[in-house]
Amino acid sequence: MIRAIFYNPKYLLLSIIIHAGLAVLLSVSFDWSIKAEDTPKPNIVDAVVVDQSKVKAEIEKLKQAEKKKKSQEAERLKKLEKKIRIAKQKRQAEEKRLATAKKKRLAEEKKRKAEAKKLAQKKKQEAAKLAKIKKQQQQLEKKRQLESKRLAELEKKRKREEANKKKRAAEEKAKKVAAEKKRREQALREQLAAEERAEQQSRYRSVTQKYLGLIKNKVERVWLKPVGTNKGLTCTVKVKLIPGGEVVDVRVIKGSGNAAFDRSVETAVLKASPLPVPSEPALQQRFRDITFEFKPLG
Amino acid sequence: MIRYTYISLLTLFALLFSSYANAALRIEITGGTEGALPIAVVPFGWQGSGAPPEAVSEIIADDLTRSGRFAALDESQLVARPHFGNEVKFKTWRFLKVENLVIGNVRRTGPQQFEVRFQLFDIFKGEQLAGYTIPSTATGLRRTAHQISDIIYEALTGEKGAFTTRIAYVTADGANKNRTYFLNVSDADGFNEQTILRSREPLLSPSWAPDGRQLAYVSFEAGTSQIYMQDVFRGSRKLIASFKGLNSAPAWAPDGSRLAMTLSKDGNAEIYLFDVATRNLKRMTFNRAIDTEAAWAPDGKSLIFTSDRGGKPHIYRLFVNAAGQRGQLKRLTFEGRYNARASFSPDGKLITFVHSVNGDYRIATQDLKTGNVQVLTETSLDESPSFAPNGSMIIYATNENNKGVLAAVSVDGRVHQRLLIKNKDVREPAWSPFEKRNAKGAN
Repeated sequence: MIRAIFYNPKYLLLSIIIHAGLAVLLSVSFDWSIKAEDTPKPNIVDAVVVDQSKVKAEIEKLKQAEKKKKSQEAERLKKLEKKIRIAKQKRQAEEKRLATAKKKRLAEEKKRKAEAKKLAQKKKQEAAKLAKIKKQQQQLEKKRQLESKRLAELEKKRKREEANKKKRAAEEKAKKVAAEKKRREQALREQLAAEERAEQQSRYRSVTQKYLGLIKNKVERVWLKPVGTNKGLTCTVKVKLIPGGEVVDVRVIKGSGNAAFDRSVETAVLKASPLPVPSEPALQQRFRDITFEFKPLG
Repeated sequence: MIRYTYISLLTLFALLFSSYANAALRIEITGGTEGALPIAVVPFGWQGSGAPPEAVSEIIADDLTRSGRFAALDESQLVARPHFGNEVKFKTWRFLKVENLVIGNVRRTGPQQFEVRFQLFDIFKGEQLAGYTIPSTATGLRRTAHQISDIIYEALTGEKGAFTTRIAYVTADGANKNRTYFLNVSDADGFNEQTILRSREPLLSPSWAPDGRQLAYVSFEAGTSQIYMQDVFRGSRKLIASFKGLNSAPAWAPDGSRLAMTLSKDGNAEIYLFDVATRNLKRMTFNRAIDTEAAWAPDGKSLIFTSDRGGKPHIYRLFVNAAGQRGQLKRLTFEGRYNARASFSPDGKLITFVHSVNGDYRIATQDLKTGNVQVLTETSLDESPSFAPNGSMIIYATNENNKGVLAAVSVDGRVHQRLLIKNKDVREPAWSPFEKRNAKGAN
């Protein structure tokens, strides 16, 4: 746009005017930001030709104006320079700002990059973590698999044992049945034995009776009752024998109250020793303890 | 199935149990022979110079045999002659069926001093029942032997022996004008006789005081009957009754304070009580029949006497209190035509008296509770029965070849023996009580 102004003097003037106006404006207040909006409009003024004096005056006036314009121009230039300088400064500032911004950007970029790096690292870490977790999961999985395998084995074992148990139970039952059969036979044998024994018992009883009679006879033969005082007297003694019939102990368990009578009873049993006893061991055992009741008739 | 086995086992067990353990064998012995216990009295050893003054073991053997409860083995049957316990072999003695064994030893410990040691064994039990060492003297050896007999008797029978007691009796010697009467006291075996009175006139009815030291008796020395009381050991005597008429049958009360006696001073033979301390007389019977021969019950609360108030002589019992007041009178005997001279057994349960059976005079007892009469002798002129202080025997006089002799019979009448074999007429025996120091067992 500035170049367009220099190629057209009309426009130059206009431009100067505008510029002057602008300068005024600028001197009062200038805002770069709104300049863009005051873009010159080409059809605002119409130039008109006038007389020599008037032209002279005009020249003069122009000269003056030139001069003024020149000074103004210088001023303007100066201002422009200043403006440029300012602009330059501004640009520099801007550049600086831009540089700063760039720097900032760079820093930001760097930061970003760092962040990215960090992020990447983080990502990497996370990935590692993830990998670890995954690994753990894999291990867990493996473990789970092992466990399930073990469980499976256990189950298998249990099943095997159950089977064994069943087998054993079956064997046990078979055994039991056999044992019961045996027991039944045994019981039968025992019953027979008991019957046999009962038979023996009755034989034993008769043998026992026989020997009791023999003992009674022997004791009565040797019993020397004291003279006179026996009427109504009773003396009970407990006698211990050893196999073979020898008397080892005579104890009065219920005396008659008459010392001589009781003494005669004890002596009679001892005197009759050894007492006749059966030879069969089973019966001899029975003839180990005998109670005698001495009860003279009359 | 299991139950079946269980039951069968149970049955089996019950069978075993009942037959082998539960039903204890029991035997009732009803037979047996009644008799004297065989006892071996081995002649005692002697440690001293010369011969021993007394055959102590013989005295013991005789005592035991005389009691009727024992049969001492004859010396020839002794299979061994041990003097000390460690020499005794029970097995040897068992073969003889002898139940008890007495061994001992006499040792001189001074000129007149002796020591008698003895042991009594139960042969079948194989244990010692008694054993003592007793110091003695030459004159005391017989008595020591009797003491040993007492110990043995008590150890084997549970009853107190009466071998150390004495008997009093009257003997007569000579004929017609030369006839002399003696009042004697001897050991219970008749040995060691001491004459405590000699008289040309009859002596009668000796009666022991409960202290065993004094005798009351009837003497005709003054021509008529009189009652004297005499200390056996000192010889001193006292006239206690010399009333007009009959003075007879003194009987000492158990507490020694009174004597019952028969007097006829009031015209008829009656029982009187004589107080020893005050010499007071109290008449107990008032009957025109003859009342005589009083004897005291051991508790001193009643008297028994002979009376013919029923027509024939019989025994009556009269209760008397301490003040001498008469109580209930009761006739005791009803059997036979003649019952006289009664006395009590030491336990007061029996009385013994002379009982006439078909003209024979025999010794009998009557149970006071049941009234049962048991005639103990088979002789014909028995008189003066008197219980031994342990109640085991009754001593009495009887007639043999027209001479009086002493005899004894066990209370059950099974064991009879002659006590004195002397060429004298012996009558009126009276068995002493236990000596005062062991008088406790007398009742």
